Amino acid sequence: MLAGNLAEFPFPSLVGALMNAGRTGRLRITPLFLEAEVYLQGGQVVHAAVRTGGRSLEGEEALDLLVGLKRAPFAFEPEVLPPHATLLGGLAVPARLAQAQSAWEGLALPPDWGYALRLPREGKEVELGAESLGVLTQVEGKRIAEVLVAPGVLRLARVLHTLLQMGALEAVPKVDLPPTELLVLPIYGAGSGVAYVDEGLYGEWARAIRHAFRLKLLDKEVGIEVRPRPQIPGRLGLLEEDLRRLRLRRGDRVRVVPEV
Amino acid sequence: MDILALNEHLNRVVYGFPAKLVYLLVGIYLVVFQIRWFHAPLRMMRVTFSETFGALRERAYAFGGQITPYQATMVALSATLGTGHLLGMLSAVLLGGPGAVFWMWMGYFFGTGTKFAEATLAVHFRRRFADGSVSGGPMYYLSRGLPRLRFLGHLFAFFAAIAAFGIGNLSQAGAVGGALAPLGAPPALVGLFLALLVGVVLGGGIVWVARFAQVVVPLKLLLFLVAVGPLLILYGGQIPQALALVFQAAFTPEAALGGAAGYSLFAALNAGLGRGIFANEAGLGSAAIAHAQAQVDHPVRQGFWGVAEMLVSFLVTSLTALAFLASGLWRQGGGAAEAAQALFQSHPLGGVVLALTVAVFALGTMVSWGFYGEEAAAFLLGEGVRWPYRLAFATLAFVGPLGGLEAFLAISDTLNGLMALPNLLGLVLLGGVVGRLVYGFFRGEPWIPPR
Repeated sequence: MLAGNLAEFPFPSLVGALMNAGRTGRLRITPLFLEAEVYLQGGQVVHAAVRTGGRSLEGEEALDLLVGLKRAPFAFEPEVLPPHATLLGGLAVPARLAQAQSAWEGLALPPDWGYALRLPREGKEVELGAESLGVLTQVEGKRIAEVLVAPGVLRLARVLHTLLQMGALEAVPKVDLPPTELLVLPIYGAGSGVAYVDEGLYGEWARAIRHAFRLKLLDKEVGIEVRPRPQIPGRLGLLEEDLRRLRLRRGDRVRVVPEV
Repeated sequence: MDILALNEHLNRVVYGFPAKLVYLLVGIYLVVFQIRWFHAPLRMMRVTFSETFGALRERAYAFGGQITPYQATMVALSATLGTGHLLGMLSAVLLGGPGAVFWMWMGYFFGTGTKFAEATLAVHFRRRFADGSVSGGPMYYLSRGLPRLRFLGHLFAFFAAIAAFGIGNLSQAGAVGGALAPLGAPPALVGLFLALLVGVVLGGGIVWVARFAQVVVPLKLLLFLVAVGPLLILYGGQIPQALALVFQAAFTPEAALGGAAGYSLFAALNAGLGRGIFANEAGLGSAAIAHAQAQVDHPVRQGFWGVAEMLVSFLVTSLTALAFLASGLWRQGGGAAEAAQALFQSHPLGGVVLALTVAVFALGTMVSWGFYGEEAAAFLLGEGVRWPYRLAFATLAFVGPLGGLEAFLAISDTLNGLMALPNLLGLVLLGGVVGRLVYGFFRGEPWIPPR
């Protein structure tokens, strides 16, 4: 079984190689938050489908989307037959792939389509067209993959690219970590606006998020910069100034959660 | 010169007035120049309370590791709050007059710096083992902090390991036996009970010692309040005069008390400083062995618990002294035991409460000192010595109430005093480390343990 990652073997080259080898079977591509299948029969691409949540795309639109995937594990299972045909095969497929590839080349979307889209925290004034505005109103809180699995993939990708470039939208990892209960520990020193957690807990969060993050104090509804500190398991280190500001004192229990 | 005569001479040196001045000077050096208490006294007081009494509600939460900072302090307090806080305090007032109380407070104030430095250094230089357990105390901070004077650590451990058998065991077991004898408890039975209790608790290691201390220290304080509370109420009207007398007699005892009383400034200083130094063990280095066990993110945090230990000790000695002074019985002179009997005659529960308080005070001291001695012996001779040491300690606990072994007791008393020699020298030489740690702590810097 042929397996690998699109980061090393881009989708158009992979499909081209399978077509040239005259293979029959199913190419499964499984990035997080997406499920994609491409069926070949005797070297001809006869069916492509992409699904995420309740939405799906088939045929050429699915191929357009898959060309934009920069990294995702794939596996080719030989001799698996398609449920039905959505593509005509022949030269139309390589041509479509080439066209989609050139369209994606000009776009800079985050490589991880699991990232969620949101309006920026510090907004600035931007001028948007009707199309961009229409998209903007529908994407808040959704993952990039969810937005793109819709008719008009390349158009949507172009609009998203524009919105991200203009700063009208930002893409951040969707953090779904449970709140942690910590005891407040005073840290003596000048400054404010920084919280400290044990380096073990910080590392755990950093590995899960893989992006810069802040800390949200759930009971106070306050976000604060967070840094690792050795030997304070179960504690939330807060500078004296912040203790006063947040009306907290030593030993208070606070629920915190990292936020991007 | 035979060994007992030599011991007597040494004993006079280590507990003499010049030695007390050395304790005081070391405390002043640490408080003023290294901890720099007077740099921001109000802030230091606020932080001390926040880090100790303010952290009581999180007493069950460690920073990982075996025992919490609170528990480590309980182990130290269990040793510190001994019979010296009761009978020793009465003795100091009888010897030095009311002015001795003022000088005792001075000893406490500067001794606080010494205790702070001991606890801080004990955590900073402690050794962590692969199983997560730790060992520390003066033997570690002397040998790791002063590599060229490593022998000081070994010297301290030698003195502590042997002194623990005498001052920390035989004396205490004798005090328990003596206190319970009037209540009809046979000394052999008391000895057997003590041997079993000490053996079992020490056998469980620091975790059991800490659990025991966590129960026995509040019990000590409760008994103390039951013992001294009614006396303070009974003599409440005389307390303001007693307090005034403390200050008047501190500098001019002859004028305050009348020449006939026979109290001099030197007697007040000598007796007061002695209590202010030896009752709380600041400078001896013993409590540092317990503080080293605490799991904290920064050694200075444990240093503040050392201050809290001193505060509790200060309150117990001061309230005892005030009750005694207010009663007026100190004017009758005599020994501490007779004075205590006379004082507690007016207590609603009579001498029983005194007997129980003395017994529990001595019992707690005994267990903590067993741990101190064991740690010192393990430092000198390795981990294999722990069980033999525990068995020997339990055996002597049995012997204590039966009496005898006076010569050994006298020598161990001297060795107890000698523990201060390497410790105080080390505290002066490592004062800079304490200063840097305090400076870093108040700049919010994390602690980096020495390699």
